[in-house]
Parts: sequence; structure tokens; C-alpha cells
Amino acid sequence: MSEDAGSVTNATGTMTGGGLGRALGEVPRSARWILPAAAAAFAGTETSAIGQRERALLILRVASIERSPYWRTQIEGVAGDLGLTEDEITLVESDEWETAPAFDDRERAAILWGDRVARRLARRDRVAYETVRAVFDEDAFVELTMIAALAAMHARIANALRIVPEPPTGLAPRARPISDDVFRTWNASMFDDHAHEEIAS
Amino acid sequence: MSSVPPRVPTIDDAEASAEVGRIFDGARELLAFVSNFARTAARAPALARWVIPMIAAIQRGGPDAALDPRIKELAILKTSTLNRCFF
Repeated sequence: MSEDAGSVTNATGTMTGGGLGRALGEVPRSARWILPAAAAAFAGTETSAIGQRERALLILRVASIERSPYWRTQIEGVAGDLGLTEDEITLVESDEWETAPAFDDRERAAILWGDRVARRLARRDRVAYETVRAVFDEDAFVELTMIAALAAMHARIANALRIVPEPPTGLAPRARPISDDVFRTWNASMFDDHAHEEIAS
Repeated sequence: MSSVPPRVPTIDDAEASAEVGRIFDGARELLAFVSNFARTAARAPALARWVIPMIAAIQRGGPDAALDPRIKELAILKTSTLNRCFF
């Protein structure tokens, strides 16, 4: 790993993303944006309109459609903190989630939208859209869509690069979202003069 | 060209909050304009402030880019076509 790649992956322990962070460290100019975008989407932020359980369920459904084992491993490790059971995780990966009483309306809508985005049906599926919008306002709907799309992107990176699933890292959903201070630290360490010289050299 | 109406209204400059205004200013610096993608994504500003420069970094690259710009454009075009995205 080059020095600038190490700079990206080691900038902060809360956003390295484990195997993903190490793989993206090989393309530091992109990684210094991809990793905080992934952290904001998957771990959540202080201003997020999406609950952490909803977020985890959405990501699990996307990962299931994308046939990516990465997120199941990540979320299983933090399931207890999120109030998710092993049975619920298995339900999301099956077709039973649509009727399972384990999930409330918002959780079911989050899973539904993740399913439609991952299957590339979201553009045309009016019924799914109306179901989701009945419980998420416009801003939350945009956030939900961006989380699903970034989860699909992440799953495709992990699959294409055959990144080995690992114990949960900073990118997994968590009981307490990432604070603005962590993002400020990342920004400062990625774009200070030293980091700029490293990446430019 | 798409005839499907947008599901969410974009945010105009006049209605942008201070936080969203900073994101738009950043988009202008990066891409020379504020796309409708950015004006929609800004409804989730905590994500948009990272996603917009992420897209710029991937699309525009930099002096350390491993891919020739033509190869990159072809990869983007093929991926967009497969995803039925005409943006």
C-alpha cells in the first residue's frame, strides 16, 4: 500500500471501512470522498431522517438482491444494538418480509424501496413509490433512495473486487450515528497540505 | 429523452438554505454548474455534501487517475445504458 493510500485508510478509525477502505486506498482521490459518503449513508448522520433499524433493513435487502455477503456479516455483528434479531435478518433475505408482522410500516417501506432500487424497478413502480411516500416525506424519500443506491454501489465494489467479509467496521449502521466532528476530522486530515502533497506526489 | 416527471421537486437557488447553498457553491466550483441531480440530492444535505464531490472525483479523475478519460467515459456510458439511465 502506498503512503497516500495509507493516509486515506488510516485517517480515522470510524470511517476506514475495513476491506473496502483498504481496497479504495489504492485510488485515494476517489476514496477520500467515497468513504465519507458511504459512512454518512450506512452509519447515519446526526440529521438523518431514516431510523437506524430502517437503514439496516434497507441495506440488507439491497445486499440480498445484489448477492453480496458483505452486509449480512457487517449487520449481524451490530444487530443487537439495532434491535434486530437473526430471524428478522433472515426474513429480509427471503420473500416473507412483505407480510411479516415483525416489521412496522416504515420498516417494510424501507425494505420495499431498497428492493426496487436494487432491481432497477424504482423508476416505473408507482405502487411501490406511493407506499413509500405514504410514510416518508420528500426529503426522507431522497435520503432513502441515496442510501439504497450507495448500498448497491458498495455491494458491487465488494463483489467485483471479491472483498472478504470481515467483522463489523465503522461503515455498519449503529445505534449512535456518526457525529459532525468525525466528518470534520476526516475532512481536515484528507485535505490538509500534507495530504495534498502526498496525493499529488 | 425521458417523459417521466420527476418524483421530487428540485431545489432552486432562491429557496436553498445556507447549508444547501454551500453545497450548490461547491458543485459550481467542481462541475461549473449545479445539475438537477445535485438539486435533488441536496434534499438530503448530509449525504449530498459528500456524494456530489464523490461523483466529480470519479467522473473527472485527476493527475493520478489510472484510467484514460476515453475508457472512463465508455465505462460510464455502458453502465448507464445497462441501468436504463439517460441522465
